[in-house]
Amino acid sequence: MLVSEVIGALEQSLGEPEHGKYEGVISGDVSIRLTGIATCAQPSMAVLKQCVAKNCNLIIVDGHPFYTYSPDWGAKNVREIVDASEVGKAKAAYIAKHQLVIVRFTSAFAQRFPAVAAEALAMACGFDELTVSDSKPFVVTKVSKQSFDSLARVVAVNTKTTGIRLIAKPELTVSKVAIGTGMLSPADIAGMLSDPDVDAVIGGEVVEWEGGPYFEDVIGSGRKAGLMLLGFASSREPMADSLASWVAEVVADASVTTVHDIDPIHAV
Amino acid sequence: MSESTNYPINRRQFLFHSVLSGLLLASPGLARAAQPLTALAIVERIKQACAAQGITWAEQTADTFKLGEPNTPVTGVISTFSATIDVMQRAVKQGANFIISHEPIFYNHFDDTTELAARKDPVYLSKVRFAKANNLVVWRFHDHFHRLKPEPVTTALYQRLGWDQLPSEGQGFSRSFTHPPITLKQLAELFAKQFPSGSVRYVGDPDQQVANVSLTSHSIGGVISAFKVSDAGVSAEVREWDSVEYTRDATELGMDKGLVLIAHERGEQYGMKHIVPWLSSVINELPVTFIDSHEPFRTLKV
Repeated sequence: MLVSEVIGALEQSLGEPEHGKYEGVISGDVSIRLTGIATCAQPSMAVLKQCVAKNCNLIIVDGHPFYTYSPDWGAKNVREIVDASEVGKAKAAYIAKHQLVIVRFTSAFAQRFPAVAAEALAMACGFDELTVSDSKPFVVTKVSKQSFDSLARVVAVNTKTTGIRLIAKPELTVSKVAIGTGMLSPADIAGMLSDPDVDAVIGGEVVEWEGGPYFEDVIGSGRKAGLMLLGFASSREPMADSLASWVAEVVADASVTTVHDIDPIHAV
Repeated sequence: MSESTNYPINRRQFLFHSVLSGLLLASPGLARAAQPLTALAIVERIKQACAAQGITWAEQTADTFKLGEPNTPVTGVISTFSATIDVMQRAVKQGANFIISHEPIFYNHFDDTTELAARKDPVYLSKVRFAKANNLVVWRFHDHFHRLKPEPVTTALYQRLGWDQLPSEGQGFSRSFTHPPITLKQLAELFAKQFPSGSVRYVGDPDQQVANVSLTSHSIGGVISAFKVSDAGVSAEVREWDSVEYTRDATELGMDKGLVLIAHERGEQYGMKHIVPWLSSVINELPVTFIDSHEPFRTLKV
């Protein structure tokens, strides 16, 4: 089977989407023969090395190997800056040497399956009875009444997060959690708190002049709620398994390997 | 840790000024005679003081009035990193009604409230209600603040660390320091202690030796530049999908680079404390008080 045939099948299952600026085929020659498929969240160097060791030459990624997650963020010439950097050059050389084809469907996948990333994270956190909406990028679950910090500890341990950050009063008690992933904007947070019973919000990161102060003002305005930030990578890591399930369903006659990386951030 | 600085007016003088302002507001005759200082007049003075430093006021700038009526007579001035509802409440308790905030009030760089108003955001509405009820005026001082000489954030930061005594190259945010040998983890711990912060994090090998260190901007470009001249960068907020991932890869590639992450608020708020004497020299009739906007985050060690 050719790599291009797999990519074609995956695109077809997503309704032949128009790829975003930093999406589609990121690297490699799609006309080569497939040796194996891997999926991952962040295509870090450690992940790429694992893919090579497992003889997978097609990698379906959630993040971007050259750190350009979305055109909505960062400098317009960010790719040029990265390409000219020491790390960018070394990574590109490694990808070329091992003839890795890296493909990214992140926004099309999110459009087709809005809640999948949040579901994957919620399951990784240890939550099982989830309220899932077909149109919302977050899920909600009830937990036994407990302190916010106690819940945060469970979430950090279950997701192997080493750099979790909290915005909450230590004495806060929680019983209903909204789980999202990646970057949470003020609008995202407002959506997750639209259920007045939600008292804990989980996400990846916030802009510290946007979502961060918004949540401070959520608390300042009298709402008894707390925010748990796992870090961008840690919150998206379970997506690797969701991508693998999707690819395996679409390309039934190929084996799909999930490759994970550890949380890159350590708390002091 | 809460930190509040009142300069150069002491508590007794502060009370005197508050009572005087109250009298002026209550007595139109007196007010006319003494011309109570308005928020607008204060901002004009700040603009003049910037001009005296050769800073041309930009036409497109985030430094505008965000809340309240600019012609409001001012009872006291607050300098703070972020005018959160909590900071606004503490300003009211102190009897001050004019807040100079470094960061946005409405959660985006230009404080565009269109979306917030359209969705009747309860947090936004609550903040506006509180400001109106307490006659607060909030003005932002960001773009031109960073152009003051010397640049306040880095001046305060380097002084706090004692780094202004270290050999260095460059200026302001683009300054790299030769540091006595320290590990990456120890460097992160240094920031946690000096600022003080409960949310410092780092990316890289904790035992990596650091002999040169630079501050970085919020962007991946800043991190890449820092790594060209230093073993470690320190940033008061980055985007994790780029700067953290870049550092993770640098480590995996054996480049011995590390990144220390401190909260934006910790990294920059001391600049707003640092300019209180300067603001006081511009606004000498009224107390100028620094309010610590408090570190929003804390980490959980598991």
